[in-house]
Amino acid sequence: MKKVLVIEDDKSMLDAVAMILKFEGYEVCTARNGRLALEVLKDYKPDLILLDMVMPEMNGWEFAENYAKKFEHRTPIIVLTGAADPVQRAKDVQAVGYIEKPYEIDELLKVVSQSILGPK
Amino acid sequence: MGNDFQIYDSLVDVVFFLSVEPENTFKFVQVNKSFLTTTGLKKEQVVGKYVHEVIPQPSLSLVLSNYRLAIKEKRTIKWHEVTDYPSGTKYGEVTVVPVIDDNGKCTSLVGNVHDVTDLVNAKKKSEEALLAKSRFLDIAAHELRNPVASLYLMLQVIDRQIQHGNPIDHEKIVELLHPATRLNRLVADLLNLSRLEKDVVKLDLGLHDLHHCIVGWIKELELIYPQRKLHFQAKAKEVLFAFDALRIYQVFTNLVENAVKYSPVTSPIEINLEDLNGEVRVSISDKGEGISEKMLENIFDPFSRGGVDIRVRHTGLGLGLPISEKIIKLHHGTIQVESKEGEGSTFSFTIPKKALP
Repeated sequence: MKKVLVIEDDKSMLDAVAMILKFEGYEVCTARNGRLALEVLKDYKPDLILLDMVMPEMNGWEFAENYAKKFEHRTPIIVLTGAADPVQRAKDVQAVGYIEKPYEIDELLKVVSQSILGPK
Repeated sequence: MGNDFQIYDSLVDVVFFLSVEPENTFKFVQVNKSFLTTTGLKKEQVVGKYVHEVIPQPSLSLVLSNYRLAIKEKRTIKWHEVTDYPSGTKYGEVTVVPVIDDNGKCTSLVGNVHDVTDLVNAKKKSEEALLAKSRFLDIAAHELRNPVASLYLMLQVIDRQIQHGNPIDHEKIVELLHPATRLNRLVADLLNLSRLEKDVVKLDLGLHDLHHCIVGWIKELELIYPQRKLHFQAKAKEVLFAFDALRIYQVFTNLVENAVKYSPVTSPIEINLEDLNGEVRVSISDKGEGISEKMLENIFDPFSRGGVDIRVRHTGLGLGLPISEKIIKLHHGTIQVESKEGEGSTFSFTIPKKALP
């Protein structure tokens, strides 16, 4: 089962994404900000990270910087963003892709499955 | 030139008359009234003095080189100038004309300055306002998009549940209320400010005891923020006057909620009510991070949430203070802030104690 870590501060958003991905057969782990995500990553190696950028305590930029510095494994990141410059944001954190908020379930699933090659 | 020069006193533009002195220097022979009011200099500080004694650098170099050019080429020279005078920084469109005598020699210069300081400042202000508005739009778009995005996604989830013939999750429906409530609050703030800015808000004045009101409001806030200590101090036990209780409640809760938001959970928030001569003063102090001087400058301006960093999560649109200021103004009062970075902030408002009209 492929594993996805979702980092998003908006609880309803986080719950909805987690539910959709679980329904599609992914194993899902969640974190409400970058700092909590770094904690999770200490003993969890996901196949994909979905990353919201603007979050309290530790935002997406700080998370990506810390993740690159402190961890050896490199999990591809997809940025979840409502900003006017999604491409720039994806570049900022060396993400493999981005999803613009608000998005359709099918779009989310397409980007996730494309980013995680191989069986679920 | 002597007394004839007085006719230039009625001109709005600055007019001056210079004599050409040895070694390429210049002396002020006459200046009109507008010269003195524009620069903030006294007549004795100008007339009879060399130009280099009156005009400061860096303008001086530009001015002297243009005077010399006018003499050398025997033609009118025009330029734009920014100079710091005692009256402040002045922006001017300068014209200097060489006066040629019968022998073809230039012995004096006549100058005219059209003061465009107000124009330049207005332009700067409007540019700043535009920038602030675009920053505000960024924040507003982001703040609105988040709850919209979660509503959109959750509605799709519910729709799928129905399509698959699964029972609808009651919890999911309840969760829809969170983003909807957020959206509602954001839109209410926008509407509120828009109405206040258009001056269409009429106060609903009633005779209330502000002390009694504040005690109630604090109780309410303590329920919302049970972990925070709100210390209330008041010398007077009854402060009866006419005010719009709902609107002042809005100001009060906004200031307390700001204090809650920007100070550590463990630090107390002090609330003070003073009954002064004919007016009341309410102050709310926190021991939080404080506010930088730059942010303090325009903290009550809408769309200006100082030093906005789009990477930082904002809760709300930052319209609380502008809305509060407008409400206090409607009560003919004033709102102030004192703050030191790292020490905390005190927001206070003072309103006159009026009887019912």
